[in-house]
Amino acid sequence: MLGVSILNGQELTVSGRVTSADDGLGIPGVSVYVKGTFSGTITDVEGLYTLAGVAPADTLVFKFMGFFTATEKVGARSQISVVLTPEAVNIEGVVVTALGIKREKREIGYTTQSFEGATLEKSNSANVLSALSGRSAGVQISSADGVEGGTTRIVIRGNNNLTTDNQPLIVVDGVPLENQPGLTDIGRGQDWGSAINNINQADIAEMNILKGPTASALYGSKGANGVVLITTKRGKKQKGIGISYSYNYKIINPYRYRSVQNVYGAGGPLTLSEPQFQQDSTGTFLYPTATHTNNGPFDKPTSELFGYYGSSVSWGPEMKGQMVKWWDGKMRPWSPQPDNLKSYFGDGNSSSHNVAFSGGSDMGTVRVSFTRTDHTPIIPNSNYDQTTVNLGSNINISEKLKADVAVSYINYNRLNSPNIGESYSSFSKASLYSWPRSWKGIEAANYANPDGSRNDWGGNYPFEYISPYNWWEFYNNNTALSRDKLIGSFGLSWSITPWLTASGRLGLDLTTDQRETRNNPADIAGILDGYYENELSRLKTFNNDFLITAYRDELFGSKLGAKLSVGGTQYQRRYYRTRAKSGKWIDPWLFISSNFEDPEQIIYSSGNRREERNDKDINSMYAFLNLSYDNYLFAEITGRNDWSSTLPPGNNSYFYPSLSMSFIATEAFGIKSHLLSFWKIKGSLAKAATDTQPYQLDYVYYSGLFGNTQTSSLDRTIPPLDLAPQEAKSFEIGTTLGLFDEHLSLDFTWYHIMSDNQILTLPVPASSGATGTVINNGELENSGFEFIMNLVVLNRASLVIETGLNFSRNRNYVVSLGSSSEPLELGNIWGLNGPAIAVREGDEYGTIVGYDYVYHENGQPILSDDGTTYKITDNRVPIGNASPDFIGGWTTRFIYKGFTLSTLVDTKWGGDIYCGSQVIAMQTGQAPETLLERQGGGLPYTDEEGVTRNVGVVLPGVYEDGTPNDKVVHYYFKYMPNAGGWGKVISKPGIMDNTWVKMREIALSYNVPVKVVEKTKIFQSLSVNVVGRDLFYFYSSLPNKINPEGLMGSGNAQGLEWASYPGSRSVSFGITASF
Amino acid sequence: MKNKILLVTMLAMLVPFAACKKDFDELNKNPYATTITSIGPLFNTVTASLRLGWNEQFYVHNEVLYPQTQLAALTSQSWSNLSIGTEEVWTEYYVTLAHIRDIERRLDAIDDPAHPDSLDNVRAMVKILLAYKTFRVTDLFGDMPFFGAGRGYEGTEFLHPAYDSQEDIYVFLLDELKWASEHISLTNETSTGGTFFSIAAYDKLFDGQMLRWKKFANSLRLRHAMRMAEKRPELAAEIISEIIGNNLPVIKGAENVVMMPRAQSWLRESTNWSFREHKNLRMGTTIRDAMSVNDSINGSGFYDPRAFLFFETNNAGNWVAFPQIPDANTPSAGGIPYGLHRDLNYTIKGTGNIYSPFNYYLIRDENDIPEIILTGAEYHFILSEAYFRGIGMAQNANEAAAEYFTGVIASMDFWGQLHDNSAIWLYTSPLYEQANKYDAANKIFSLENDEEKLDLLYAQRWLDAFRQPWEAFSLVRRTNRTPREGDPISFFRLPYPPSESEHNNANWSAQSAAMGGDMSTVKVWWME
Repeated sequence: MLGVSILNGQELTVSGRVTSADDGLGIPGVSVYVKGTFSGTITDVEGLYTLAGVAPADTLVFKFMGFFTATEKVGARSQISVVLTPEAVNIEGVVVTALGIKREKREIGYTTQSFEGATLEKSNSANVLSALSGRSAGVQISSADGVEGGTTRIVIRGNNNLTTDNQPLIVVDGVPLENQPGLTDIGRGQDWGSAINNINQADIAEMNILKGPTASALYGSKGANGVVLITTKRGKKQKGIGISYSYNYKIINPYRYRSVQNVYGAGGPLTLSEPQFQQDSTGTFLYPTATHTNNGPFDKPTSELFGYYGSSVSWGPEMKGQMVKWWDGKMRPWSPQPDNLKSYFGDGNSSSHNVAFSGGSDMGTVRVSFTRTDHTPIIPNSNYDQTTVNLGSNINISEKLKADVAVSYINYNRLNSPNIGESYSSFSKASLYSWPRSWKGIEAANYANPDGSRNDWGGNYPFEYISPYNWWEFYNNNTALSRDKLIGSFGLSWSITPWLTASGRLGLDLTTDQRETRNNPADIAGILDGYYENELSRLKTFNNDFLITAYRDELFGSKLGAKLSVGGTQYQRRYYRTRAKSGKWIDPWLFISSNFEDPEQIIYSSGNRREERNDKDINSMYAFLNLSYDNYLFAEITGRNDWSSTLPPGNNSYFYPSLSMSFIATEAFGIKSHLLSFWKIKGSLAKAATDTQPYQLDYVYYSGLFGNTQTSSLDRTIPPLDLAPQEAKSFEIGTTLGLFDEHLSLDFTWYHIMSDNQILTLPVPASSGATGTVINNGELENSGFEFIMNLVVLNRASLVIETGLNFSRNRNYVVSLGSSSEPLELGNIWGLNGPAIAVREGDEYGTIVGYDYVYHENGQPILSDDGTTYKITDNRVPIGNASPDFIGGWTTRFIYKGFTLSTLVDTKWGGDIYCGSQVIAMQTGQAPETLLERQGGGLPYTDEEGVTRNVGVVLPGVYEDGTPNDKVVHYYFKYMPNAGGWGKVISKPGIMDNTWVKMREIALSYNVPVKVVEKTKIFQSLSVNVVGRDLFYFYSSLPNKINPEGLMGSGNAQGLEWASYPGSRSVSFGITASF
Repeated sequence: MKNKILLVTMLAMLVPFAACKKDFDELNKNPYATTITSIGPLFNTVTASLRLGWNEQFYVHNEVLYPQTQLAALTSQSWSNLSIGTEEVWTEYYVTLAHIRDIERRLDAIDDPAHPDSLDNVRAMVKILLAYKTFRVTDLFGDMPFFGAGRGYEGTEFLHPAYDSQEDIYVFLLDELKWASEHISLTNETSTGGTFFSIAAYDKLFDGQMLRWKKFANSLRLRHAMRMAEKRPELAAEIISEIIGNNLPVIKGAENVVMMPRAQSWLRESTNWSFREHKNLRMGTTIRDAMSVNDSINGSGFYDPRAFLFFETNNAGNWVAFPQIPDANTPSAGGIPYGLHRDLNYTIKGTGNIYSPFNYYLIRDENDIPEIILTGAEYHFILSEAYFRGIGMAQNANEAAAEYFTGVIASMDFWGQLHDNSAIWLYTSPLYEQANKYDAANKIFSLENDEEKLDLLYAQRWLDAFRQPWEAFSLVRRTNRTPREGDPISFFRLPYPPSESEHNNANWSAQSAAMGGDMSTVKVWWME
């Protein structure tokens, strides 16, 4: 009692620490005050505070922007530590804008979205861009063919360029990152990924997306597609020894394989009667190697009837375990092989260690981090690892002069990148196009002879369009990529007077890639097919800039504030690549480029070019003026002039301005309501201009030799006469609302972008003497909206429930393709015979063209009189469009005590795909749908031998005169005719709606309570997490579990699928501790 | 002080911005190709383009022209992707045409008024190659863009050339050849005392021998005059009589125009590839019957020695022809008679190789087997036909038979030399030496009927074109009297390549409509 009374009357001194629920680290700058009074303090850099003069009956308030406010009754305590929970809704706050300038959100009139490094790191996705999928409105992320470690495509607000790169500029600590896609070709090849894959997620403090030309106006040409700004971590003053360690282990599981039938095995459509084995003279069943014949049904070649299908045709005898003499001469049972699609895949894993040292003093702060990642993909023999050392430091040289240094060194090593798409040794192609359902994969164990030489299968390999040595090549033809990358940013800022600052920065991105190929010889002598190649490339970019800013508040004694900045950037890109290769070997097992039978035979051509360059300079000057009035009206006016080396002298200097405005209505009209607590209206106008690739201007001749004498050949692309920069004019308007004390926030943006004067290489008919011409024409229009909503459902210190929703829709029209209005093909399957992504005047971008049915007036497709064959259009016509109706994401977060559970649902709604895998699976009888008639579910059909079975179908459609077809034909005519590269085929059946809703991420983390951690005397903080990514689809409109995200290539031709990889999911376990 | 240093540092950072466009031209200069060239290297590119394309041989010759002309039989239609071939023929032609246009522009620019004829020889050479190349393409496709074609580099108005009639192209090119024949000078000095502009160092076809160019021009005139003899008989007769009557120089007898890899320093890899990858061409019954008196599988029926050069035995050592018109009972063909393994193991053709393939050496030799442009024998066959039919000269069956005889012997000698010159041709059937070249040549004298003789003439010209299936294709379509089984030929032309309908759609559509559809059943202009 005594004690209490004493206490009651006494003033206490309370101290404690305020930490973040996110990472357990102290939060500096938190306001700590006694409720209802002005008595308070703020926390120091380690989150520590001491507040005197507190009564036990008082309540302490802990308030910090971006976190939920916490309150604690003092009672008898003198130590009060609290954990603040980050708030999802932060309408107000600071964002990083162009050139790394931090601005109040309320000031800006364009759209940016920011993401904390911790969120991205925790998602543990394949790279930092993939982590954004579903989180950001208007940002579309895709990964080519679904291959790990490959190129990730990111497009913000649709395509602004017909043929050139539509991906945003990525800026790391002020240095533009060279992020050339690894493979854009949709056809074939290896995808080594792009540089963004090398950015270490553990080192990222924050990522900002600047959407639209206004936001990125100050990045000029390079930023015309938007900008992704990445800021790496800097050090901070803290308690303890300042070391943190995290470990992460991820398991990747390919789980979503194409559904196939497992009843019928190999066999071509050679006859209309029941498929049977051929037998030898002893009555032994023979493996059906023949798939095509000159004498097919109706005495016609099978190719004439059904096109050139692959050898994966599975129209053969039922697999009932019968003994069959295999193509290699051995007897084996003809039995179902339900798992043969999996033969080439296995579980992958990735482990990552990160150690970071962080500390600081009055002199500044420093953080050094070391990260090592080892990755074993789902495809064997393609491991990669990465070591990253990152340094981030702020140095206070003097009171007025500060330096900022950020350096990352990355060492990346990768063995092989899988062959994808149409490649001759692509496994995914083989299992779709070459290997039938009865395929047993005997190649895997027998690809080499006992003496180590290559097994040639006695020349009897029966599968076509795939290398008979696929497994041999897989293990014996190795290419290793070794990359060293240095990204450095050295900045200096000087506060000359309170109103005048100057800053400068030197930025460097230096990458050296070495790619060494060693193909082991296939014979015992060590000569045959041996090959060596070595390629060394160096990419060096400098990005140096300066900025001088004058600032004045209360201009002329008014409420007007102004800030004027003048700056410049010098950008230099220098790329050089050299390559050497061996020829037909003379030295056994000697991997060197001089291993050549006849060095004279080295052919010079662009494909074998032994040196490559790509050099470019852009110099820029810019100025911007920021005006503010009474903290509710803001305007920004910018102007920039670029000089680019890639454009001709008359056109290489170009200027473009922007204007953006922001108006805080709540502030202006003095609205102070719980219902409407914040209302901002924003709008902007901007022009952006883009240059082009180097070396396009000269009228050149390529030299060669004929008869040991020089030849001169014209470039098949006609050079442009007077190239000018591409332009994009954009307009955007939007509003942000904070309702119910900002528990609900809504953000809506509508934009319109007109991109004209497009620089593109247009195909021209060969009869002109050339095959293409570079023109400066064509117009693209983008318009769309973005909607973001965040809702705090429950906000208690003990339990927080938040949810967020974003969705966006973009429409992309090809307004004009210039005077010649040639359709422009971006990519195709099967050349001119199959579907393609083409841009045509008046169409939407992303139109899929192909051969369609010819329809009768009554809307039905027209069939031949015998009811077997559909009539086909003469030319390719639009048959679909790949642009989604909208894309969106839904996030939730639950915070309870130290636990945080977050989820992310990601969707792409609408948009077509040409689903090549399904078309081929139908043609080759692999798809489960093809069982129906084979198992007697068809109509009675009498074959050529007079046998009647229930294998008939009536193809829907009408004859030329419009009368409905009623002819019963063999099921081959239903499944087989719609695919193949040899001769025109109807592409329309391959067009499918591609909608999916995916459980992208579920993450659970637990921060061990500070009290417990402190007791250990070792740790400053400790947390563990489990994250499941790409877990499952709630819905996918594609049939037979075909990968809806396995689009071919990362180029502009998005919408074609063919032999994509199976879907994979991952689960990771992580632990983070600081000491 | 410190502030001043900083200010200087800051200002120094501005220095690079002072010169915003410095060195741009140098930086953006194409590092891979030169902007400088001259007529010689451009002309050499045109000559180099006379080599056959890889896909042309694969998808057009082996896949379509051999079976259509029945010079060989196709055992399985394995690809049927004709458009890959037509696309190549088309593109290669027009790309070369752009180079010819470039040369023509350069010639116009250097025209010397003091010596107006000083460029005549080079102009003539260009016209002759233009004529040869254009005739080949128009004979395959019929009407085609020509007068406005190949000029895309001259301006955007030339990007979509219209189609021209084959007749106009024929008449124009025959005039050009006449000009060439008349203007080629065999002296060194021009009529005004100047020197002829010469690109002899770049002439890899005739090494600067202007007489051979003159002969080639006249031989081409003969070839194409005869080809249009049914449609423009007067013009055909006029050209034939002008050349024969005036005894103008022509390629004849032992003289030939060929692309010879060894002499021109290239490797003829394309031919072997087109057979090796394609695999399905074999001796057919039609050609077998045209060279033999019976179908004995031991080869004893062949009287024509060329049979042993064109073809070889099957895996079992027998001479077996694939039926030109196979039926359901025809055993299917297989084997690997064109595989490169035969360089080392010549006898291994694969157990499935039950029909006689093309002679391995003929399609394998990359150095000494030429690509044929025009044979000396052809002249005699054309002359023989002119005598038989009285085109451009009085009908004379005896002269006709004599020219036939000379032509056949010239052809036999040509093929014999080709065999003898091949460094890799190690094995030839012993029957080759036993066959007598005069048997086929003398055959004409045993025939009574002139029509039969004419048939025999056509058969021999057809056989001589064994490795020029495009020429045989023209002969078959024009005469419809070459050896044949089954129905007369109904495949008259190659459809235009798909890129035309895709990228030259307006002109292609107009052309397609005018001819009643872009189909292979549409006759080319000179067909009856």
